Amino acid sequence: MDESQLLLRFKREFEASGGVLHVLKDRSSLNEFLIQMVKKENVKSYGISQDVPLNKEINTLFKDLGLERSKEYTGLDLGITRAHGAGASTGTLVFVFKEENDHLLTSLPRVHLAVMMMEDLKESVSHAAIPYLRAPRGPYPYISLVTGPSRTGDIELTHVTGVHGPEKLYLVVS
Amino acid sequence: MKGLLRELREYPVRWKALQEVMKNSTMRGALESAMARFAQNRDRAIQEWGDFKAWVEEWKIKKAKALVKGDQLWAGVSRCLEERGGKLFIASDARAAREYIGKVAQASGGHLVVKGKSITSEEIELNPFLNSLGLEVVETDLGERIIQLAGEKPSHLIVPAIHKTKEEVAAIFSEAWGREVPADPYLITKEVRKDLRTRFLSACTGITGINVVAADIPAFFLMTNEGNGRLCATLPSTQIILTGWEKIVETVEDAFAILDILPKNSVGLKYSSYLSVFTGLFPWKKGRSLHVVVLDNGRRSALEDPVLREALRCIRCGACMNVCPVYKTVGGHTFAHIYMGGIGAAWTAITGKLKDAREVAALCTGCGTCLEVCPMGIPIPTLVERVRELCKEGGEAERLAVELVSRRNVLGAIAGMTSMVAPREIRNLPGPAKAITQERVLEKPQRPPFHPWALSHGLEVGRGGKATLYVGCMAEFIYPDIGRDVVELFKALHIPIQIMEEECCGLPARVIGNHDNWRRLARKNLDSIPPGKPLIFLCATCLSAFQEYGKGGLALPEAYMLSQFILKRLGPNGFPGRFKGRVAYHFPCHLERHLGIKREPLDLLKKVEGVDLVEGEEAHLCCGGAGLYAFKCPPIAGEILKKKLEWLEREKVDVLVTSCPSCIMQLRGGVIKRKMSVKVMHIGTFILESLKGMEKTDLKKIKRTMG
Ligand code: SF4
Ligand code: SF4
Repeated sequence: MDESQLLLRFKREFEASGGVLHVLKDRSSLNEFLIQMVKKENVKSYGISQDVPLNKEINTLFKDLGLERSKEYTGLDLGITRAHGAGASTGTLVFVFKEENDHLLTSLPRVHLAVMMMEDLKESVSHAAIPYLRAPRGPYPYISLVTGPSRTGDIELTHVTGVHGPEKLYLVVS
Repeated sequence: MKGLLRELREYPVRWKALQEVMKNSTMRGALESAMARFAQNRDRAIQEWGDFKAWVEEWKIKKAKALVKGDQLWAGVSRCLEERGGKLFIASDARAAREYIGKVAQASGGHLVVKGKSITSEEIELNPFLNSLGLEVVETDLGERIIQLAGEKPSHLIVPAIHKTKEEVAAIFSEAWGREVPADPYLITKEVRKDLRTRFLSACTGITGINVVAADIPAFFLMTNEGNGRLCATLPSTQIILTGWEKIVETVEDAFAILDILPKNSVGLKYSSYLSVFTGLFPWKKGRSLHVVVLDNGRRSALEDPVLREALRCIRCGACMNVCPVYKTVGGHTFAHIYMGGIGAAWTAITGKLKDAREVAALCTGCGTCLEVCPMGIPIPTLVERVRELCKEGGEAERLAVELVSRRNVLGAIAGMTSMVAPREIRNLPGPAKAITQERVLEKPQRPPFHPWALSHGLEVGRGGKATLYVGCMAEFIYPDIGRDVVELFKALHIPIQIMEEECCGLPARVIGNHDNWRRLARKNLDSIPPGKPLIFLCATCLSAFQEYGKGGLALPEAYMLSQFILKRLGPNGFPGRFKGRVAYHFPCHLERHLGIKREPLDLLKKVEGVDLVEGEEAHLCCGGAGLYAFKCPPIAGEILKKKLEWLEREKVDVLVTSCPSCIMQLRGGVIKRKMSVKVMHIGTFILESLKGMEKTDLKKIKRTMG
């Protein structure tokens, strides 16, 4: 599969699982996507991890928008972290963690925005995740694979998102 | 004798309880539609995914290999985990596991424990034990939380609270929180999120189950949709993973392969929202501890049992329950102890609760519907039979019944007597036995039995035929007309036929685990088979029993179901007759799922001119008869039967054809009870009738084609 086919497949599965995807074209397209997200999800506060690509751009924009950047993660509207990989066949994102804040940012806020580099997209979730488990310096202690938002059908099979994890999942592919 | 009487008195009590369960139609409606949806989605997802059969064959071997190496693999896991700051404890039984977890939780410095869904924790009855230590345990999966607050048990493996309406759920939370909660799934979920979030953040211990463990990394994999599992695992400072000893596979690739099929086979979901992988203690947080408790509790000794060990491959996808007619009818409260469904009977036995396992095993009809969807190729009905054997499920009453039906002369005497005194059909049995005739009548045995008739009509035992007929007990004593029709059919088709000395095929004995009788009957039948001629069967159950003899290494001649044999003889062009009307075929469980015959009966019916064949998934549903089952669990058998009959009514079927006299007894009994006009016929009778519908010249043609 070449890159564009892979991306197409990934996009289909990622969106089918309930995610919202943006493939970066230029700076203004990024801003437009983020502004829309902030409006739609009514984001007032956010937290961002160190290793997020486009870290600077995002912070600048959010500052302009008047969002509050916080280190207190409970009750946060938006968490932004880097996705270290993705599997196209299921639309799954791979997160590995080097410090505690990062995994809290993927799991506690109401909305989760992930940023991923195109080259980290692989055919399947196992292709994307196994390198982190077979890393030369030993496996990462904790890896989180995320496919769409948190969901349940426990009450009368009614589909509800955002049970314990984020109710929305956004992704920017750079 | 005393035991027998007590048992006979117990039967109606059990029936009453079952009837009570089935009265709750809201629960059953919700459960059934959930299961139907899961099963449908599952079929779609698996079809899209790939070659299921090949996967099953591969994994039967792969997982069995990993299990054989289990102890060695766990030893390696334990070593690595300690190097990474974790601790691994192998708990020999439920008590050892409970006490270890209790100690760790008490040492965590707080009294609040958050928990992810874990059936293994129910196996060891963890929650009440932790409560007895003064710890508070909060289930965090939404469905589990609902039933925890309601003080109930899960009714379904995947959606534990499916038996609750949203109003009931709202009432449960209203009471728990002391304020009005609206009956709206979305709003309830958001409130629960808030409530449980504070608990996640304040708990000192988090306990989760695990889906699979990869020995090579080693890594522990946990799948959830809600995201509660990862919060349980990562927020409290003490993390406890409770896993069954059998969850281990050799490599991380194997783990991913299982996790790939699991959500698809379970509910038709491509992938679960969250898959968390743990390999050791997080280095970035001080004061954390990680404990892995590996539960043996009978698993390692089950590995020594040639049959039960197959259950250890189970990945708890629940697919077998979603298609099970009994589960659909009574739900996971009744068809379960802790582990649900037919596979649950095996797990209950493995984990040492033979008495409870006996109750669960008693409800399985052995229909084999589950066999088609199990990704690990687990022969569930065979496991259920093994459980019955181990715990003598039969009880005295059933053993006596089987003892009687296992002897032709005794059965003949009973049938003879019954046919003298009984009316043509019994519409209502008196007293507690009423349950048996709730949905069906009982037809009385016809006279004379098949063999005396055949001998007086020129058929010989083991001589003069090109094929040998084995009619089976039902066509011998209850419906000898089927045998007579088939003899006439063979005459019309110009195939000389012979008979053999028959004994019961032995299946009734085997399904209750009475192996002495089973072996005795197998030997007798095998000794009586005339050599060199194909054997023709009128009953799918009998043929599957004979095939089982073959598996025991005993030589069996070519054997066919009647429809297969006729179809083969007809060749591609021949046609057996003419019949005008809407015709449906009922696939006997043993025919379709145990013998794997899926095509031939329909092909044969399609050759009959004028037949308007009604097809549908209902054609494949169990009829609920299942040999003695309809007498053992009449309320369930009756409910299952109803679905079939309603289908016939809906489709305005004129004739229902099938290939098993036992199914005929159940189906025709139901048709008569409901005063429906449908005719229920054996396929032999139907083909004979359709031949009669032909002109003489056509019959000559038949002669030519059959040669
Ligand atoms: S054999 Fe039939 S009744 Fe028994 S568990 Fe399987 S599907 Fe259910
Ligand atoms: S027995 Fe098979 S189908 Fe049933 S839960 Fe286990 S793995 Fe799934």
